[in-house]
Amino acid sequence: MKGPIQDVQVQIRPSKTLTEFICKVKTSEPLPENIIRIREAGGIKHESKEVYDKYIPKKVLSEKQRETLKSISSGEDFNKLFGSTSKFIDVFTADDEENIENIESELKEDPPSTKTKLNASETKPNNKPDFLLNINDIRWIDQILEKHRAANECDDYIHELLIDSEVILPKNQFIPRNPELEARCVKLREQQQEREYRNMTKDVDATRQHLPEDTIAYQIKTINRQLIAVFQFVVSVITGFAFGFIGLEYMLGELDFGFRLFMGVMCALIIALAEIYFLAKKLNEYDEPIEDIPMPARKPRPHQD
Amino acid sequence: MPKNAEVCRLLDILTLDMLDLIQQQVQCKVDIEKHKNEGDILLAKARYIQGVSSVSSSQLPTENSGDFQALTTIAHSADESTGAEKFQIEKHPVSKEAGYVNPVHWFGVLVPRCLQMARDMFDKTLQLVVESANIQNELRNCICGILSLKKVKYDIE
Repeated sequence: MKGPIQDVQVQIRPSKTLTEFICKVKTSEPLPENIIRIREAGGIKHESKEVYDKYIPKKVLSEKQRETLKSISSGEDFNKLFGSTSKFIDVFTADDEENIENIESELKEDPPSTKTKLNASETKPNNKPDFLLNINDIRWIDQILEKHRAANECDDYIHELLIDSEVILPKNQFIPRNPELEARCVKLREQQQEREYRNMTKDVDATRQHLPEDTIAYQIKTINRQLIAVFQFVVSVITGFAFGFIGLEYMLGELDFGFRLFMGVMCALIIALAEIYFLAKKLNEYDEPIEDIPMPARKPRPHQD
Repeated sequence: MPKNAEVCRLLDILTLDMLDLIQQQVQCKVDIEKHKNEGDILLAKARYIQGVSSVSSSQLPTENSGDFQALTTIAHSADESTGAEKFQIEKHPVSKEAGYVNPVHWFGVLVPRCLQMARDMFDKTLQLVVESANIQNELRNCICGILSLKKVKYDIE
């Protein structure tokens, strides 16, 4: 059974180029946690335990940039672009196993010359699920790149480094079914089937055919229940009338016959109104078919249990 | 023609934007799932309380019943800054004269609280769905921008 997604963070598995870049970065500032992990796997020791954990806000396009973008992409058709493109970032869900296997086999087939000098490259850091970056890390790399570019130290851009990186979408947690529940379900299903079978074969088995009818409970049940409900209604109306007609006289002393009659009718009327509501409710329930619950053969009289 | 550095910077921003939008989309989808599940459970509760026959599909209007207006409709509009298409939810107040009926009243005058809450939940789900569609639209525009910028970039090189 699939459980809900707990952590909605989209993660990025860095490509070789990105991993190399992360290991190369020289900075005295504190690094984000994931970056430190990748660097440590790359053989770089970190003395300071300081971790960069600030949230980096989203960059917004300036008015001029927006104009440029508009002028470039105005005449383009999305589907045509998308169909003609070479892959820029592979986007697929993590449960797309086939895809991952393909990528992994691609990575394995990489010629050794492209392998980095890092110690970590032997253990393939990009195949390990531990070395994942989140969006804030990517933004942090972007910031660093911007500083480097400003200082003319390099001319890399984040979108170039991200080529061949994977975007890993969060995966549903798999919740194993509780064995206790499973056992219970099996038991209940068996009971249900047993009951159905019993119902079906009731006419065939002569020993069982008349058994339920012997009990008083069954006979009472077979009397029309609606009649009972109506009878209850009549009884309560009569007793209501009796209360108004006789009971009030006992309570208050001598009363006029007309007044007693009037009070009796009033009481009966009020009770009848209330009773009609319950009657309607009960009769409504009887519209639904009542499942005949046959009794188990070994216990022909469960009411005596 | 814009310079290569500028195109690259734009590409950077859009790439980060794209990742951000993917994240938002995932969050939105998870929220949709959460709200819908909650609504389903509340509806089941309402059926349990009120009885299976009193809250069922037989209460829903059929082809033969009278026409009524939808309480919630979707309007298209264009975002001024990016020119992208945007969806918006339009809500109409309940009024018998204009043909806007309250669907909760199909299930009786005194409906259980759970039914009202389930309705609110589904309402929120609807809003989230529209939000998700907007994010999808933005994502599409973003990818479109990236692709056209790439084209320009490689043309320059």
